[in-house]
Amino acid sequence: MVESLIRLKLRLLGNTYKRSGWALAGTVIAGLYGLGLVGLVVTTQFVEGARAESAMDLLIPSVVVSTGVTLVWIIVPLAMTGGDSVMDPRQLITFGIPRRSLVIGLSAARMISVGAILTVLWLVGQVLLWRSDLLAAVIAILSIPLLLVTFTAVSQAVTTAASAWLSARKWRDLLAILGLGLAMMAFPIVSSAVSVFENVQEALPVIAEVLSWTPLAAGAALPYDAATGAWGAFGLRLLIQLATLGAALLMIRAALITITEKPRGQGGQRRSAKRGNIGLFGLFPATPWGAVAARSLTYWLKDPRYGGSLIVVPGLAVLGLFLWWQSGETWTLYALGPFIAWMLGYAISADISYDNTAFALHVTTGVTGVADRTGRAVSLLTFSLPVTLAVSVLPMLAVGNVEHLLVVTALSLGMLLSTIGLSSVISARLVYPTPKPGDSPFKQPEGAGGRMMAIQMATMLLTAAVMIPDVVLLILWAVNGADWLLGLLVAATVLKGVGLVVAGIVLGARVYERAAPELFQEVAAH
Amino acid sequence: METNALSIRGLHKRYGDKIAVQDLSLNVPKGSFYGFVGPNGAGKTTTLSMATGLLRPDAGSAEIAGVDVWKHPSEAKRRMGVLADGVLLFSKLTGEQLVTYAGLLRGMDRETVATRTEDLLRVLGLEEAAGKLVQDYSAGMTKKIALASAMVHAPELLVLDEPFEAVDPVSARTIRGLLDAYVASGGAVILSSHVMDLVQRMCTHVGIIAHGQLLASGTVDEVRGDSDLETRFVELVGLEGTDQELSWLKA
Repeated sequence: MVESLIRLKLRLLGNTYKRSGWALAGTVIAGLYGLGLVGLVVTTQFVEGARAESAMDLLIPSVVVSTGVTLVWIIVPLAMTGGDSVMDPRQLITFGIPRRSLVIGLSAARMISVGAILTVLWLVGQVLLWRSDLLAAVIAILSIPLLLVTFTAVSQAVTTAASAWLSARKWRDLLAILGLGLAMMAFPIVSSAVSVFENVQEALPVIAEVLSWTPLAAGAALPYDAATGAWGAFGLRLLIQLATLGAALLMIRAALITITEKPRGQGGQRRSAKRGNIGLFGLFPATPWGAVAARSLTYWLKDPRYGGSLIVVPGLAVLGLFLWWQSGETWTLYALGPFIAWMLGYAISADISYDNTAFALHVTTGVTGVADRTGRAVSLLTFSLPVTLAVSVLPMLAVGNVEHLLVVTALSLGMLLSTIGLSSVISARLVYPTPKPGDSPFKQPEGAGGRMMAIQMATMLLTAAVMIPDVVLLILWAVNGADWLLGLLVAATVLKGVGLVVAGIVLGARVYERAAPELFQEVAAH
Repeated sequence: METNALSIRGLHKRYGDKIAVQDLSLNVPKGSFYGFVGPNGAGKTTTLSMATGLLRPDAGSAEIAGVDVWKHPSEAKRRMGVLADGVLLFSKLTGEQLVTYAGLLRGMDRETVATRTEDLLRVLGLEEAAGKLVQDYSAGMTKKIALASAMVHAPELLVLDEPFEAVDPVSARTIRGLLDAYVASGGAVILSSHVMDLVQRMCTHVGIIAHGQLLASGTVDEVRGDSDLETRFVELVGLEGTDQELSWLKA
């Protein structure tokens, strides 16, 4: 039975890759990225293994990396799929598989993944790390299967539990956004942690010691106990590791009971059904474009797929501030405005892809291209305009002068408007597979990666091309410093932006009206 | 004076080697209730998609009350309401917002949209759920709110693809009541279905499609002749499989 589940997983993966070369390309790219990262870790392990002066020097990398690996095993599958997509236990309900086989089979099937391969590589690196002590190295070898099994079981436990108990959509949305936020903030968090450690090097052994007594790293600390001959601690840590594995298996079992024996009900949503409350539709003009804007803005607020792309913005702002605070360099503050403006303007380029087949309503009601394009651009402008102003004006108040403020604000606005104009045309013809409505923002549909990357890259290059005149003016002003150049730069950038929005809407509208049915057929095919 | 609410002439669509709809013509007279029936994969959705502007035909035309859908799309689309099959709704809107959205997209003024939305929600029994997100609706409620979105602009023709699929009997009865009243008031409906019984009871006209071709069309009585619609349908479309029993299948 377990074997059948593993074969099923292999078959499912195989079919995915057979169907779409892009999916294979996506996995290969992700795999190479991971391989690079792990390669770095293993190299460090190899070097440290020879250089370390005490067992503690070896414990620290073991425990820290183990903590990271465990967290990745927990977070990534959860965030990537918002639950179980490839092997959804719900789809296996009808086969009446014995629960024990299901628990083991699902965990075992999880080992068929890029992540598992990378984890094994790191575990082999563990052996290299501890190679100076024979006994520790043997323990490191012996603990490879134990750790791998624990990782997969914990990972399976988290996803199954989420699928069983967090089925309420809101929880998933929240989780997805939190995960994305965390990923965004990882760099500042890690680098501030590092900077703290630099000052208090002696804290590291303490942290390692603490972590080594948690399920996050107890297993990875076993060679340390062997090296130091602390067999009492060894037994205790082994116990922690085994208890973690046991708890994970029990959790999978309990979650499976919920899934198989208490099928999901109506979600228990008891939102007060107040009539006459049409939300944003009451605020925008009662016209087709106003309706599109209201609907679009409602989605910006309610749909985590949109929110997900926005969470990057505060993340970037924090990152910019952080880099400035840490290095004293001000360039990040200058770049913040234009860069966030670009991200925001770019955000509607997947609009129709996000609509998915709900876009049919736009086609069957015969909304004009101008109304469709204008509405989407207006909804984006309602919040991106103030945000862009804030992230370009505020930093300049801190570090710049009036001239800098004018230039940065104008460039940011120009960037925002130009990109919106460009997006309005691009999204009227090019759609690509995006997460479906109701899915996690992380859940990339099969074969999305390659085509999406190609379109995004093309858009990025086009935006860069569109901004060339502004950059030329900027350089001229920077060299010359004449006031009239400053005035020309500000006026030209903003006016060009406005012109591009109008042109983008007009051109996009023409493209839209010619191709709306084809556009619908394409999103339907995804 | 055009007497057909919908007139399809020679619609043709092929995907690669497979001809999905072959030179298909049919008329839905004004004030008629037209059932468009056929087995799965016969080309019902493809035909209706081409008639509603969702799928560009390779050849042929579709006219709504004499207005060509592909030559004058906005004029034609104003006259019809569409319930497409298998498409999502903007489900992060509440039911009331969705119908309002459909009305406003059609360029109607706010007051009319508000009054009609309220009426539609009441008639369809969705008053309680008006403020609930469409994503939390049941299948029956989803069909009903989609129907409300298709009707809010009081079209001359309703094109409904599988309006009764996955709908519970109570909701189905509500939908039927609304459609009957609409036809009685002079509107025309074309709906696709593969439930013969339902079509025989509800519709005045019927068209049978299989393999992309219209096999029979006319009033229900003309098409079914002496037998019932299902028998006639099976005669035309043909049985699948063989009559042999499975020797091992017994309790």
